[in-house]
Amino acid sequence: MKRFFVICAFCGVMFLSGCGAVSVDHDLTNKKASMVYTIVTNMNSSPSAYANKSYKINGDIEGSLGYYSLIVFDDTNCCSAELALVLDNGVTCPKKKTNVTVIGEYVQIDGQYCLKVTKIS
Amino acid sequence: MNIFEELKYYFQFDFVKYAIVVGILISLCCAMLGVTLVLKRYSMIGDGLSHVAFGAMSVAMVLTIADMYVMLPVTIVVAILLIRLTNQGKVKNDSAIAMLSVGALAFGYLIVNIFSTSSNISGDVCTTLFGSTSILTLNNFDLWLCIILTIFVLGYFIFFHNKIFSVTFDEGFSKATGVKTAVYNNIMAMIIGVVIVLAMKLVGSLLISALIVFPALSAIRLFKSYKSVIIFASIISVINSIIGILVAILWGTPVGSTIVIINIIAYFICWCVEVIIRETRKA
Repeated sequence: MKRFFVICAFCGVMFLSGCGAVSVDHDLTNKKASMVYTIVTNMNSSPSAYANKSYKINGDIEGSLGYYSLIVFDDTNCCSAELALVLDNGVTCPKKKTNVTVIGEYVQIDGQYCLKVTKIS
Repeated sequence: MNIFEELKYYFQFDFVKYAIVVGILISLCCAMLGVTLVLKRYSMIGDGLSHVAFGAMSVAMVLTIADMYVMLPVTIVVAILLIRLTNQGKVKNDSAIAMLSVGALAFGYLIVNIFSTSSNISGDVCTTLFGSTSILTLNNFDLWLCIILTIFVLGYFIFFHNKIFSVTFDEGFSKATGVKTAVYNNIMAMIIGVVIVLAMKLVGSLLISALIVFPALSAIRLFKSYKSVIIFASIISVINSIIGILVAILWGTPVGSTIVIINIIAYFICWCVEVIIRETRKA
């Protein structure tokens, strides 16, 4: 009986730890910085190939007054690429130059491609 | 995620497939061209012309027009002039290359700094000079342009290999037997210009000579006939480029430098194999 409760508790903890995880099409937080930079550069130059997919990306926040972007650097910190962000309802932006992880869908809004952010951490 | 899963993930992106295809085509062209240039002692011409191409690309960047429209014609014209000047003996080969190389590099960097509208000049210059990620940011137009130019280059080497061989090894005798050596030299200069501009996308301006020289030198270590050297240089250049691109993707290293290091390792392996074969034959 004791073993049964321990197993149930363990399963409950494992279940709850998975609750906060958001499934995305492309999780770039565990990729090399140079490849993240390359992917973001390609998202800007050929956006239609990357549209309507969800992304999880790490970078520095820039911008203010409703216009935000995520800056990603390559491994040498020499080259940077900028991804336009649009914050979804209820999502607030931290201070400029803060390193954040954003989750969102790459969509076209008013003719411009941007990442519609649903979560910032 | 293991290596194969990582590669499978990256291969879903078109830019990775374009990089592999273009890498194979460019390394094939460089290998074939490299054998001729090494034998004619024009090894450093790639370096000089790549700096000229950098200067031309800087002008294109400032004028905000597609870089190929400026780089290709300028590099081809300079290549033809360079080969003509050295053949006529007006300027020594190495002096001409040195003048062009430093002059064009300095000019290019100066005008990019003074007139450029880019927000990240150092990044753009770094990418162009060292080819850190330029091969991974190709679009469909770049891919097809590369394919068409490669067909032109490979076609020339395949259909005119006999004439190329005779002009490379004994230009005087070829001229005496009626071969239009000036025409072949001009075509070769055009090919050099085209290959240099393409190779800049793969390894950057400063490292182009490695892509031209190392496969040829590796092949010359092991083979003595012209045909075998060309074939082996082509194979080893393609293999090195593919390995270099895959290593750069997996470990986040700059693509150009990685390919050059792989070429150096391959040259070292060929050198060791040559020594082993030579010692075995002696024994």
